[in-house]
Amino acid sequence: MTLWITSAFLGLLIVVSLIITMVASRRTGSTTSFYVAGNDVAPWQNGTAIAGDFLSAAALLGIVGATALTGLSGFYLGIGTATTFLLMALLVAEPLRNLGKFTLADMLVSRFERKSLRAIAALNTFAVSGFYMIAQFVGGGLVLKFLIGIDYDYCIIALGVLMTIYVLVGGMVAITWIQVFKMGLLLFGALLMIILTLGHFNYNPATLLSAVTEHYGPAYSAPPHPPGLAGRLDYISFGLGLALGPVGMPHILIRFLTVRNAQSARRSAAIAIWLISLFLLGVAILGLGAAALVGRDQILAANPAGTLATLLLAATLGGPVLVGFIAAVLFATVVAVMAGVSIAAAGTFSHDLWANVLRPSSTERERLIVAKSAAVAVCIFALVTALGARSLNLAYIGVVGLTIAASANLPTMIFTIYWRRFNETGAFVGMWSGLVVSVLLVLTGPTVMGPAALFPLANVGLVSIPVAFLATAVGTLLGRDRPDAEAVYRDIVVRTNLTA
Amino acid sequence: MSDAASVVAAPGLVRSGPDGVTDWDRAFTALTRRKARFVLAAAVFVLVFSLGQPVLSVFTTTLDGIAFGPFTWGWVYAVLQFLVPLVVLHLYMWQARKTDDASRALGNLPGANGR
Repeated sequence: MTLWITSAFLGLLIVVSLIITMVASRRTGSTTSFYVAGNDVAPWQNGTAIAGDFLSAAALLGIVGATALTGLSGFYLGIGTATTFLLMALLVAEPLRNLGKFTLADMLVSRFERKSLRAIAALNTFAVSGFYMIAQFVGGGLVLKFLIGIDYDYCIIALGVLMTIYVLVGGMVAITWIQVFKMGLLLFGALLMIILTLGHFNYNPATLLSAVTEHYGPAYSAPPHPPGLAGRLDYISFGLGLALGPVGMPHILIRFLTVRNAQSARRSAAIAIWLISLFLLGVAILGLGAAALVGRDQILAANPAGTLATLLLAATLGGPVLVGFIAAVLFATVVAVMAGVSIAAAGTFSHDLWANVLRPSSTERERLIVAKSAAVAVCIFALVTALGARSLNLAYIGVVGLTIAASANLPTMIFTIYWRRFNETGAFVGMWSGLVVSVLLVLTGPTVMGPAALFPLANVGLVSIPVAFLATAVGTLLGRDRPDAEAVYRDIVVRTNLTA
Repeated sequence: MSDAASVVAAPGLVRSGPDGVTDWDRAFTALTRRKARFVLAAAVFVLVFSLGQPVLSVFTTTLDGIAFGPFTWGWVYAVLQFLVPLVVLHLYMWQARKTDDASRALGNLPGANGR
């Protein structure tokens, strides 16, 4: 019964998404519309899409599950998000809109337009997007296998084909609208579940928390206390990586290029922060509700990581109809997030590498063809990797992506805008060291090497992020300024600050 | 009235001083410094506030105590992790609207020679 209802909702969602894609296809005739939706996205749409990009299936299922199983400690996995997006609004949104055209690399090289520098920036985007996309793909496939009951390989192929159609036919316009559509459904589903959950507890979160802590004990409301110095530092490192990682994620950042101006970028960030904050506060209620109404033993029995807590709660609250609806929305979530990552990577190949490094003389038409071919190639790469990578440690892949984003991109982004002395050598050293140090530390850490690890922390941000900032600063101090450095910096400051 | 806005409102805006720096330059530098100061201070504050939670969690038991009703200080801090960024966000939006006017005015003046 549940399977039929889920399939019906899924079918409906796919049909609506394809209609959106077809309508959007009329507006993807140029590179500007393909990469950044013709800079014509309204702030409310963009803010909703940014929130949608962040609220992936992993975030929803993972945090609800963790809260249900471990209470406050589990909920802490998601609470740094408002800070993350505020940092994005404060430090990056407006300057990126003013300095960038199609990609994050536009901003990273805006002070020192050099092919070598743009190539490294592009490499970093590929690394971040590649790791993140594989993690989403494998995670999405596994979740769908649980939800719909079909084979993992078929799930992966279905995800890949749909994502390719969205990107190829509809470009950024379609992906933005699909993300908005999905967020609408996700917010509706979450709100409905929150109201139904609180209905069991006199609509009072305090009554819900009392019921849960009475049943599971006071530890449920206590923060985590990991043992040993390495465990403690690892926890702080996790917090730092989570706070700074998304600030350097290309697929989220390029959304600021889809709006008309810096003010719209700021407003989109504000809308995203509100939506994410309200959603995550609601997630606490869902997690506690799952613990109270479903029970930890049943959640653990269904999946040891608690991944199915949301679905079990939906079954308790609204039967097969609510389960089917939530499962279909989760499917839409996975596809929409992956499509966003795919277009960021395709844009990087076509705009940063093809148009700026390999063939600067290429025509607009050629660049659009390269962009679309790159989108297909990215999808095929991720699909093939995901088919062979089902047994890989997902946490490790996802963390590598976030850590590279925070270590390799963030120092150059910040120094480009705020440090007068920053120079080409600093940018070069900073981007390379961020990439190399974060990958090396993960490879020599406990997630990959187990007990024989050379580096004690699984979350490497506590070391890699300060090292990358330091390397960028040292590179700058050792490097030499260009003769026109002062004028170039002034131009950056003017472009960043003057409102058109 | 802000530095930039007061210069914009003053007659005879663009004139070179004895050091070759125009009034426009001074107003623009004051505007960008004020913006950067606010943004960097706000960013450092929210980052430190956010990292306060893991630091307090792993090195102390402060957050384990009951604040009110069934809520521990850990839950209070969790909710504040959303409320504090939202308050800072709106302070930023308010501040940015003020500097927008000044920068728009500066951008329209003949002294905007950096463009």
